[in-house]
Amino acid sequence: MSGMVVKRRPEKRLDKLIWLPGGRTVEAIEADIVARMEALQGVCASAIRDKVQAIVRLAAQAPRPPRPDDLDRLYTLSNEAIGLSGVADLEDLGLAALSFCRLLDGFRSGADWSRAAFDVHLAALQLLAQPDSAMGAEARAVMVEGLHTVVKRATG
Amino acid sequence: MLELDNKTRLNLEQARVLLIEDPQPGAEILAQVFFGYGVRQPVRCVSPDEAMARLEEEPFELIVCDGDLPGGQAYDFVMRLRRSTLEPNRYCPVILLSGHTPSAYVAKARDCGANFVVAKPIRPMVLLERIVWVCGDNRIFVELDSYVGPDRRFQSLGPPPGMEGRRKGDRDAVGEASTPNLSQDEIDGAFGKSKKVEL
Repeated sequence: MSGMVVKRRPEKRLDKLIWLPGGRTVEAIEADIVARMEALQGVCASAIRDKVQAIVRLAAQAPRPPRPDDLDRLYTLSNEAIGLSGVADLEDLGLAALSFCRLLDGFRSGADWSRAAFDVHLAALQLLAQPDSAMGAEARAVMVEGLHTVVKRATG
Repeated sequence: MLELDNKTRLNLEQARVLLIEDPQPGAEILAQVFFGYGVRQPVRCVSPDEAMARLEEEPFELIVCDGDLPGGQAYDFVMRLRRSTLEPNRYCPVILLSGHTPSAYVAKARDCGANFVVAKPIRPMVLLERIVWVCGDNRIFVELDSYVGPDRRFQSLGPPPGMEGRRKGDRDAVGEASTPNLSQDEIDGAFGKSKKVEL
């Protein structure tokens, strides 16, 4: 194949199937999925809180600044938390986890270590993970916005 | 991006869908989403190796893979699949799912031969829109030494009017230009409001 460009137009098999008569309306699909996701909400909420606990434990054991291995493990846990946040109905927690991922990725990519930025993310994750938190939606949104600002300042 | 009408009917009953997701409960979420779409029996794998073994056994119409698998396994998997001799699966649309999605990740996903990246947390109706978009995607499949997968150029706008173009198929693909070239002011305007400078 050296130096050559081969172009193909493969059969669009999925496109042929998806428009076949029958099937379900988008409305019916959405209703079905909402019911399925509600059934998983409790499991996911519990799993995402476990992830936050694991993050906090790992961060407590890690030196300051954390070693590259620690940053990788924290990043992985935080990234997994993002994936669960939608079904768990804990989207603010997911956004805080996303912000933490951005911060950790910044450290891994050479941004100067910031203990304050790191610790404020841990505190926010714990607070947002509390099942009986008295914080309102507005306060949670302000907190998440604040984390984004912290990351921008810390990582440039 | 495409928006689906509530009354649109979609039929995924016969679609064979391969899901690669680890760990739990992420895999369960993804499977339930596809059951909700009407897929009868999505095939669930927890690793790229297990997925490759399934891809050797039967044809699939769609592959959805967790892009956050450790060690960049998702990219390696897509690259391996695209360069394999597994017909027709090597042409199968691949959607990668990813939590934190920096632009470098999107570039990597594009360069490994994936069709689309969808950010987590999954919003099932957004993912469905992306699947329908992938169905109608008319990009050709290209094979080079350095890349195998769907053409990485999403748009083919063709050469400017009056120019021949550098590629044989330029004019066939997009037809003759219907409007004149943009003026410099129009180009500048497309980049936002310019600042006035007094001399």
